[in-house]
Amino acid sequence: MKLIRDLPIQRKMLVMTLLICGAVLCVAITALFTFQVLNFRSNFQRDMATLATVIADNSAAALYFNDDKAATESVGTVKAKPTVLAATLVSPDGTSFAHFGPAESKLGRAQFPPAGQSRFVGGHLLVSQAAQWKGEQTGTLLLRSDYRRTLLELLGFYAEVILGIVLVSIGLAMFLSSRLGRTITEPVLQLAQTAHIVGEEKDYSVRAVVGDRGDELGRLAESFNEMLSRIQSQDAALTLSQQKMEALVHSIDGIVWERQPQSSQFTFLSRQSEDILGYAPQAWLGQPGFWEQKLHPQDAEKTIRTGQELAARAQPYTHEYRMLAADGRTVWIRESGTVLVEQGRPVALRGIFQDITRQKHDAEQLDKLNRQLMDTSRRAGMAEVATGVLHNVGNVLNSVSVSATLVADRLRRSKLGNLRRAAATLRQQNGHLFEFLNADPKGKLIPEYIATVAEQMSGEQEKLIEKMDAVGQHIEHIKEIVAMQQSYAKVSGVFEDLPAGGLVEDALRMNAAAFDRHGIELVQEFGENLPQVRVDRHKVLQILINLLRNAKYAMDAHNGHAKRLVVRVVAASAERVHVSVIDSGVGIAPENLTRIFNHGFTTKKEGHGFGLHSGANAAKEMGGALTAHSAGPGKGAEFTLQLLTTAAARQQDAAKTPTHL
Amino acid sequence: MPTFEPQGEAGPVAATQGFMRSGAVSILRLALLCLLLLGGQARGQPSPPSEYQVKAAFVLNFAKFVEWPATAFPGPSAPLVIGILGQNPFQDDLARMVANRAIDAHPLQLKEFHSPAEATNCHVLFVSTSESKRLPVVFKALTGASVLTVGEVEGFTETGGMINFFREGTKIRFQINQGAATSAGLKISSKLLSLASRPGG
Repeated sequence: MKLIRDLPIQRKMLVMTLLICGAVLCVAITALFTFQVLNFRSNFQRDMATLATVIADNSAAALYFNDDKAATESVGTVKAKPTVLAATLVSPDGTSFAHFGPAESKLGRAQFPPAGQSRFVGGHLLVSQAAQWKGEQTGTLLLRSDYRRTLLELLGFYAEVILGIVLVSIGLAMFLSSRLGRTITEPVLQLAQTAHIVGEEKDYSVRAVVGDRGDELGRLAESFNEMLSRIQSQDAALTLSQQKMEALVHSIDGIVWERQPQSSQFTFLSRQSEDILGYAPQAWLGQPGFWEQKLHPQDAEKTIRTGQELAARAQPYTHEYRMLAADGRTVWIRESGTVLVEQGRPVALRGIFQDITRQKHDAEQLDKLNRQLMDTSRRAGMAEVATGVLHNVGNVLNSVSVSATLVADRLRRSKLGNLRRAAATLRQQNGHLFEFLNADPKGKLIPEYIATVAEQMSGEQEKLIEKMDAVGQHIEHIKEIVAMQQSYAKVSGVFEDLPAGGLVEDALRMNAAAFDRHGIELVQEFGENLPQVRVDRHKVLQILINLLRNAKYAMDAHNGHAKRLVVRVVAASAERVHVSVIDSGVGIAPENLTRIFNHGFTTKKEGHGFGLHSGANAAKEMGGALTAHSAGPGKGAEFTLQLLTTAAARQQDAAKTPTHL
Repeated sequence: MPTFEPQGEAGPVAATQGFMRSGAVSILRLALLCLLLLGGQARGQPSPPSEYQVKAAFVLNFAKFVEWPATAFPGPSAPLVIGILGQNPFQDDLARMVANRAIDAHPLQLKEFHSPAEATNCHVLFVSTSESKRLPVVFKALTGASVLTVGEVEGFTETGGMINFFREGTKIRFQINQGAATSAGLKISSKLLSLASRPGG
């Protein structure tokens, strides 16, 4: 079968045709042959039986009249049939009456079947026929003919004929196959040749020429040609797009590259490598280990290791490092790469080297600027605290001033004059004071008068003491506020373990006057057993004051609505304490929710837009977070400051600190 | 009879013998036995048949090869009469052969005649040598009658007889005058004619 499979199609068709013809011929010839042999056999038998009948018939009279000469003559007519070997006419008494050829021996006669029948014995056909006249048997004719020789002769003849037929058939089949097959094989060969040219020379402009054919081959050739022209146009388009692509790749501001996953052997580099690093792609591509050599000595080891780890992860990655350019410059490179995986194995890495030297420089500048800004912000924050403090101090001073005025008024309107008048009257009566007091009607009134004045004055004194106590209280308040300001104005960055509630109370106290003034209902919901938090007290206060101020603004802006501020402190978990400031103010639009923590974002006219930004940063620095939530405009807002508990902070410290210490 | 004992060497011969032994041999043996018995009987007969025994058989056989016109028989089963004119040379051989035999449904009947006029109704008439002197008279008497005349004198056919015996060596032969038979309305089978000696042959 393999032999046939590898044959050229023309030869294959010939072989197939011959095989089919041969098989059909074989079957036909076998059937015909068998039929002929059987036919011959029965014909032979019938012929011999007929011959025997005729001879026996002709011999009947001779037997009657015992005419052996006539009988011999009659029997002798069998010589016309060369296949007859012997014919014997046996008279009823069993004697051989006449014969042709050798007379049958007794043993030979015994082989013959009963009269009227025939039998094949050892290649001979034995026919036994009764010679009879008018129903009376006058003898028996025994006819022996050579069946085998005749059959063999016939078979020989058939063999010759069959051989002739087979030869002629094969010749005809070959002729017809080559003639008719050409109509099939020629276009196929033409197609094959065209396909070969296309495959070898990648020339898509050739076409298979098979003439105008309406059959499948014609359509095949047509489709093939159509396919070729499509490929040709696609090839052209592909070349064009490849050129475009290349131009694009080379024009990208960065070095586009491709390399082997294991080694750092680069297989492609865009021309930008010359502009960015000063190395021509050819020099780079031809030299394994080139990239490693050109890494900044300080970064080389770490970069190679990181690169291998990232590549092994089979995911898009980015890392940054320094390289040395051809002119000795240090160039910051950001390598972004993708690992190409085929059938579960990394086959290549592709990516881009970007020159980020300038960005790095800019980032440094930005960082510096940011730090300055942070300082400014902190100062501004402190100013804010100071403003609050001064405001509160001012308020308290106002009360002090009112109390002082009241005291002054009261002192001005004191009954001390009456007492002085009584004293002058008594001095005029010097020497006869007794009489005056006892006799003079005026003098008699004096003691009563003095008692009344004393009573009045004692009441005044009480009032004044009362006022002065209030003043004292106010002054104490101012002292408190100032002391608080002093305690928060300390340098930040010191972490302390403090009760969360105390900090919140401090913040509220600093704003208490403002809440009163703005008619805000303050609800404090402090959880029980609040754990201590590890915080920078200054930062927390700054954040809280900012949140409270924001809430106040939000509720002021929400005209005509109840101003209700809820400050809730709860232990959200063993690690976090949540301080929530929930206002009933204007709320926050959803699109702004994500932006409120951005630097420079503000909705306030006089806002500078870094309150929440620095607040969020500060919360993060302390290991906590600042989150915002609002159901939408007009539905209030909820800001939550998450603070790290002392216990959690200790755990983190323990995790960071090497255990052997 | 040879006995075929199974032998060590197997082969086509042995196979054939084996086959022969099974059924064919017994049949063959029986047939041979019959032949021997019949042969014995045949050989047991004292001598070959006499001249007239042969002639009697011939006369009977002639009747088988001749067709008579339909008018010769009154009915389909009417007897076929074989007559002897003159002295009977067959003794009782012919009578024995004729007895209880029939040709084509016609039972055979033997009659002896003394005058030709009596014999016009018979079918086969053997004209004895005793009548050789008056043959023309006999034939004249039989004119118009469908009678097959058989004789055994020289010139029998020439004078109007139909079949005449003669000797040729030890064999009895006969000659036929077909013209006489045809004019008598008889049809003699070509088979019989082919056996007859040609005139002068």
